[in-house]
Amino acid sequence: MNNSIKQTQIILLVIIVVAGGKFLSLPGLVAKLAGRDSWVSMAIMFAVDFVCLAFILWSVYLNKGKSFDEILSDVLTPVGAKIVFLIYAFFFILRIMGGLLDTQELISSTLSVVTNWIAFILPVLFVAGFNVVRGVRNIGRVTQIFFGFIFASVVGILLLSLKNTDFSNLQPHFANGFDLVAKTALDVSFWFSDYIFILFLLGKITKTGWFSVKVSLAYLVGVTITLSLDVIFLCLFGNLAEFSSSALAKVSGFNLTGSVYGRIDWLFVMIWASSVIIKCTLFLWSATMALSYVFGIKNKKGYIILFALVGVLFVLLPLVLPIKNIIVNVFCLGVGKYVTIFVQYVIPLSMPLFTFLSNKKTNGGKNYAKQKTG
Amino acid sequence: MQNKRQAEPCAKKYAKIFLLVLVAFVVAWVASSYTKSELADRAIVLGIGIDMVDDNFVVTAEVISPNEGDEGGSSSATSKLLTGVGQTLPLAIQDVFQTSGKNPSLGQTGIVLLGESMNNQELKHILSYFIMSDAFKDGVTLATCEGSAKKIFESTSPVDSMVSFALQTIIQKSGKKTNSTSNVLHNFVERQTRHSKTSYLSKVAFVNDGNDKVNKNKDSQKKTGVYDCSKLSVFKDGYFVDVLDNDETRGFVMLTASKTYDNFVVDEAQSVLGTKDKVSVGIVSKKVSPDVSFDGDKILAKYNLDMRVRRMRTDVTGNVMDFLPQLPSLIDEHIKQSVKTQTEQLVAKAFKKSKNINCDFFGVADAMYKKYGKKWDDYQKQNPDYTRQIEFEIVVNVDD
Repeated sequence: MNNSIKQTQIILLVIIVVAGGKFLSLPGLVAKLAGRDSWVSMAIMFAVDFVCLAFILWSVYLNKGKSFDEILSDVLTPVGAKIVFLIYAFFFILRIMGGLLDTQELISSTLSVVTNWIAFILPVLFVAGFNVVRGVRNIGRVTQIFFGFIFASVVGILLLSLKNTDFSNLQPHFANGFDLVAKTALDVSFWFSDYIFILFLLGKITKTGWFSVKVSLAYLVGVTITLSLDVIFLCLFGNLAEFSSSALAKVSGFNLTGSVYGRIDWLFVMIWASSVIIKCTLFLWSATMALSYVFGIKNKKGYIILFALVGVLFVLLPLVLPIKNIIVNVFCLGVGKYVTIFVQYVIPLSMPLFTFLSNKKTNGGKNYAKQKTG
Repeated sequence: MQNKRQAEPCAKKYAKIFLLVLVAFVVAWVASSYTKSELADRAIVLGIGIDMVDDNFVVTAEVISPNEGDEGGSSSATSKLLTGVGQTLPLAIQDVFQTSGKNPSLGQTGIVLLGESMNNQELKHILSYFIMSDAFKDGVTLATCEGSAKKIFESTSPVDSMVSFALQTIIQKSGKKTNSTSNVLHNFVERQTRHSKTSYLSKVAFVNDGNDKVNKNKDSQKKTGVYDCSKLSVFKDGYFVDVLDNDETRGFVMLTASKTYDNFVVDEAQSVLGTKDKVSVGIVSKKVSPDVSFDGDKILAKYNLDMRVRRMRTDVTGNVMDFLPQLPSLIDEHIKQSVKTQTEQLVAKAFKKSKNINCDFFGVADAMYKKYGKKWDDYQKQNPDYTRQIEFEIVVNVDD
């Protein structure tokens, strides 16, 4: 498993994971909860995420070559660290499952390519598994190849939709009060904090000049793309936004009133869908790493077995449990969100302190990685 | 010992073969799990007509029919009509394809036409079938028609054999170059979920021009004619309310569609040749600035309409656009005053209609809600017939 990753790859990954997967069922769900102010709820969560990202980057700056596992084990004891990693693995698996269930629905309803869950997920798992076992460097390279196409398709979708967008549809602001907007932000927090994969790269990052600034800018690019599409979606669909199961398919197809372009939007949607696969692969790698820390696995064969176990969960769970309902009712609207908030926000915010304590405890750590500090 | 060494590679070999067979089986199974849909099995729908007969939906679908080639060897495509009947719209559409044996492909649908018999139906709910579909374009042209939608699809235009294409061109594209306007599926439904709960649709009427010889296909029984789309039907809370006549439609379009063309005839105007005669002028650019406010218990809806007109030449073809250069003036005060008066009269007719039929098709309530939020909510609850409280005002400024 080659887990060394270049700075450019991390920057592209940040843009992809922040925007990827957020144009499926999420805009409709947020619109259902907060109406035309739902973009503000998303903006609030992005702002919170930005603070947490800053803390993670601070931790990267302080870190002296230790892995996430080593830092948490030093501070929270090995048992405490294993519990945290179990929650991380659970969080990542649930996020990917939700994303892939939405993607299957998108492909099925848009292109009328109807299939069952197993036939849909097996090829995806095969591709993801190959990349996961090969290491995060592989995922970074795939991102480099696909990024230009994905970015162009998002710009194409934005341009296709802009013509009919009436921005006055966002008014009146806070008609139902700011409390509802803030509560919605908390309720949909499960779908945010995508940057936490960086924690699993601790000790593997080759830092060069202005690393933190570049990653922060990449994050802001991802946020700008996501919020722009969400605002356009709300302006176009107004009161019907909440009934949309896939915002991207709706937005991209809205302006195609004529037959001149055929369904060029489908091309854009399918290219964009590859960003979901990249995001899922990255999160699957993160989940595998989290489980490898829990079970103390450090060899390729072990990773394959772990990934196979995760794969079995992926295939079976949606067949026996209503995963999407569980995500919405337990992890968005229910108490489940407080469990994930712990790994999404509490751990990232504590990381600079943990890194400092870990450095202090072991006097600089055992495994210094070769790194250039800018 | 030697036997054991020989057995190990042999077991590995069998394991590899077993793995290969397993992978081949899985790949074959995955591939077979995707529903196959060959092009020949699909019916690509260009347009849909919806009628109501004896409490049943009757759907007429115009589908592409690829021809293998004519006598000259060239291939072409024509359209055919398929009909389905059902208690609900989804069932009627399903019936179309059950009876034809083709899979529906609604993603290319360009127009949905509602027959006159749909006037008594609650359209918001019925059309939500299309709205909820990701494949169906939300921007599909939606229109009503005089008589049955099926009859319209059974007719043909002298210039376009496919009715769906002909109607799309007339309603959607040419609509901007005439004094009417069009609407799309999503806007129609969404506007009725807003505070005004109103929306509008083009009304298509088939006018048989008696020129059936133009129809190239001698065997065809289709009537050839033109489609008149100069009127609008207005709806409230999902139900049909009334039809705006030509003048009311022009007045409404003048204030709601900023890029839509119109023209005027001015009597006794100075012609370019120095005589006094009838002169026709057309709009080349237009800007509408609506402003709504409370005026005591009343609602004041004020519209400022700034428009530039030019004498009609071959280049005044109905393209209304911004950023036009200044040209030497051929529009005198008499023409300006005449256009202003005519515009005010047209708009006044539309205002009057809105109040008379208690239908806020100008969307004053939507603008009030955007401006006042909850205050408007409370007002509307206390004054459900607020349309009669609206005092419309129009300020027209004509320039050249």
